[in-house]
Amino acid sequence: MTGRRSWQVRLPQALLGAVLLIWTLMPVYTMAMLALSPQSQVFSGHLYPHTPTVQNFVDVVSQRGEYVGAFWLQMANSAVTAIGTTVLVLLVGTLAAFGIARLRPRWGSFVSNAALATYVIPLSFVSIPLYKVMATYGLLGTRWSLVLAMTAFASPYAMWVFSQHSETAISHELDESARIDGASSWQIYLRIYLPLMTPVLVAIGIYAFLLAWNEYLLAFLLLGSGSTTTMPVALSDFLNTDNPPWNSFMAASLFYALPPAILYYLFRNKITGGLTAGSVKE
Amino acid sequence: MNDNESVFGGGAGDDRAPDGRMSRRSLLKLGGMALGGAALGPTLAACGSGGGGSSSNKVTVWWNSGFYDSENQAVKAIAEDFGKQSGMKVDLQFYSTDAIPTKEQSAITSGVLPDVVMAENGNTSTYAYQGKLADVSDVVSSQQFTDGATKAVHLFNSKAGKAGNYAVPVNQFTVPMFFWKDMLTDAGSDPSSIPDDWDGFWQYFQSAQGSYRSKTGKKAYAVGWPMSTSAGDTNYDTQMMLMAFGAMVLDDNGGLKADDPQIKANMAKALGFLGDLFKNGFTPKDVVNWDDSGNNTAFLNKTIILTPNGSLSIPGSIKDKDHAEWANIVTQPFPNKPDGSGPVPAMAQVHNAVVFEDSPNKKGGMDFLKFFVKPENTLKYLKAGHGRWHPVQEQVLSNPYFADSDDPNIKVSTAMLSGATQPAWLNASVAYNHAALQGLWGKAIGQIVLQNQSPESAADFAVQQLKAAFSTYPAK
Repeated sequence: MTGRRSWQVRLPQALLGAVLLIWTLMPVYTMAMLALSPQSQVFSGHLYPHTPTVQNFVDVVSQRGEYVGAFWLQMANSAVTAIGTTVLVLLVGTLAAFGIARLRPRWGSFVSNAALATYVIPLSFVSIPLYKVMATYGLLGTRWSLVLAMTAFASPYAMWVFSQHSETAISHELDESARIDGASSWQIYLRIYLPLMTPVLVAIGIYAFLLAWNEYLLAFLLLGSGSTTTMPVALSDFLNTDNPPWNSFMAASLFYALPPAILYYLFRNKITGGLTAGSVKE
Repeated sequence: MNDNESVFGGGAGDDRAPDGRMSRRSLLKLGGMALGGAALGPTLAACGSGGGGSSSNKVTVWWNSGFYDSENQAVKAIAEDFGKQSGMKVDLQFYSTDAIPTKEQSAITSGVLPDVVMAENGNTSTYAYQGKLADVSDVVSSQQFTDGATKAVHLFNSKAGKAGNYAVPVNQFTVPMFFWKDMLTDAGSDPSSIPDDWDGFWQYFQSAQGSYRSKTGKKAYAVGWPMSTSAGDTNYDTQMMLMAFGAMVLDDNGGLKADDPQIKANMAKALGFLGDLFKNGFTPKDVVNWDDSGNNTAFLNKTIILTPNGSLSIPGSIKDKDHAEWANIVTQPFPNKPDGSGPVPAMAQVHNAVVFEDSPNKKGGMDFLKFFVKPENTLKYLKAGHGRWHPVQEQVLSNPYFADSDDPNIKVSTAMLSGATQPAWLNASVAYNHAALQGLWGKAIGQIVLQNQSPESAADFAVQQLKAAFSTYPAK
C-alpha cells in the first residue's frame, strides 16, 4: 500500500474512531462535569465548569445532604448482595457444570439446556412470582431475597459457560489419571477442575457481580426502603423531586460506577478470554 | 506406594464407582449438601431484618416519599406518636413517586399486602373498581373534609355494585401559573400589569419572549407547557386548558360528555391552542419528552418565563436556599376564559391513602389513617412540606398558615382552592383515570405537534380513547 493510499484509508478510520470515542465518553464527561459544578451552574450550558468544586464529592463521602445520608450503608448493601451472588453463582455453576460435564449423568445435557432455556422468560415477567416466593419464605425485605433471586438468574449462563469450557479445554484424561491415583470426585473438583477453570471463574464471577450490582427492578421490589436499600434504588430517589440536585446525584453515581470499572480493568484480560472460552471446539 | 495408596490419599473408603463415575452414595451426599444449602438461606434470613406481612400489633405503611426530607420526618414523627398511643409497631417505608405504584401493583398481584398505601400517582380508582380496597367510611366520617375531597374518594366498586368511601383524602393541590419577575423586567415588560383576559395574557408573554431574547441575548421561551405522555403534569395542565375552553369532558357524576359535538369542538380548540404554542416556538421543543421535573428544571434555570405547575414545588424548592430568587417568583391563577365568561375554575386533585380489603391488619391501618388525618397531625405534615400541598379538611384549610399566609404563593393557591373548583377528572372517573394514565393527552397533543395532524383529528382520537376506556369501566 502506498503512503498516500494508507493516509486515505487511515484518516476516515481515525475520524470514525474519534467520533465513537467522543460519543462513548460524552455521558461520562457530562457526569463528571455536573459532579464538579455548583448547583447554580448545573444547567449553565457551559462545556466545562467555570467554578469547579469538589464539594459534591465531599458531601457524598461525608453523607451530608438529603439523598446521601445513608450512602455508605447503601454501597455496603450493594457490595454484600453482589459478592453474595457471585459466590453462590460460582458455587452452583461449577458444581452443576462439574456434575454434568465430568460425571456425565444420563440427563446431563438436557438439564444444561433446560437451565439455559429459562432466559426465554424476561426477568420482569417473573418479578411478581419471585416477590410471592420470597414472601412465602419470609425473605422479603432481606438482602438474601436479592442474592437468591440474582443467583437464580445468573446460574444457568454460568453453568453453560462452565460446561462448555470444561468439555473443550480440560481433558478427560486428567480425571482418569487422577482417579487412577486415587482421587475422589470432590478431590478432582477441588484440585484439578477449579484451578483449570480460573479464567472462566473470573469472567463469570465478574458477570454475576455486575448483574447483581446493577439490578434495579428486583432490588426495588424485594428489598425494603430502609436499611437494606441498594445503590441503584437509592440513586433513583434523587429523581423524587421536581428539582433534583443533579450535581450530588452525579457525584454519587460516579462513586457507584467505580467498583465495576476497577474490577473490569483489573481482570479485563481474563474477562475476554473467559467469556469466549469453550466457544470453539479444538 | 501400594495399590491402596494414592497421591490424593484415596483408598478403600473412596466414594467413586468402579467405572470412575460418581457413586450413588457420593451423589446422595452432594444432593444432601445442596438441600442443606438451600435451607440455609431461609434460616439465615430469619435472623436478618425485614420480612413482609403484618400481625395485629404491627401496621405496615408504604408512604410516598416527600420532595423534602422534612416531609418524611413529619410522617415518621406522626407514626411514632401513633405507635406510642396505640401500642402498635408501625413499619413505615418510603418509596419514590414513580416507584410506589409498581410496588403497590406487585403487592396486589402477589397478595402480600401492606396495611396502608399512600401513593400520589396510585391507581386508587381502579383498585376500588376491582373491589381490592377496604371501605374506610369510618375514617372519612371522622373529619369534616371539603366537598371536593369527599367526592374524590367516593369510588365505584364493581364487585359490590355501588360506590363507597374506598380511600382517605390526605392532601390536595391545584395548578397555578408561575413566572419570573426579573425575566419580564429584563424584557422591558412591567410584571405588575399582566392582562387577565385570555388573549392579552398570552400575547403579553409571547411578546416578552422576543424582547427578552433581543435584550439579553439569551434563548428563553415564553411558556414551558408539559406535553409528554410520561409527565403527570400533562394531565393536570391539559385539564386546565380544556376547562378554559369549555371542553368539560366529564359531567358532575363522572360520566363521559366528550362525544357531545360542542364539547368535542371546544376540545379541538384547546388542543389547537397548545399545538400553536409548540409550532410557533413559544414553548421548548423538548416539552414532548419532559418528565414531571421537566418544567420545574427549565423554569428554575430560567429557560422559560412562565409555566403551569401542580403544587407549589417550584417556589418551595428554593424558599430556604435562595430567598431573593424565591421572592422573584410570582404565583397567579390562570387568565379568564377565552370566551370572556369569567375565571377558569381551579382543578382540585386529591391525593389519598388506602387500606386493602385483604390487608393483614385492616383495623390497624384504619386506626393509623384516622390518627393521621387529625387536623393537628395534618397541619404538621403539610407545614413540613413547605405548603406544597393543601389541606383537605375544612378546619385546616381555614388555618392561618394557609388562609392568611405570609407566603404569597400559598396565599394564591389557597384562594384558588377556596373559590370555584372542579374535581380533577383523574379522581372523578376510573375510566378517565385509566385513559389519562395511558398518556391520552400527551398522545393527542403529539398528533398535532409531531405528526402534523389537525386539532379536530386529535380531538377525535382523544374521544375514541375515552370511549374505549368507558366501555372497559362502564360505571363511574
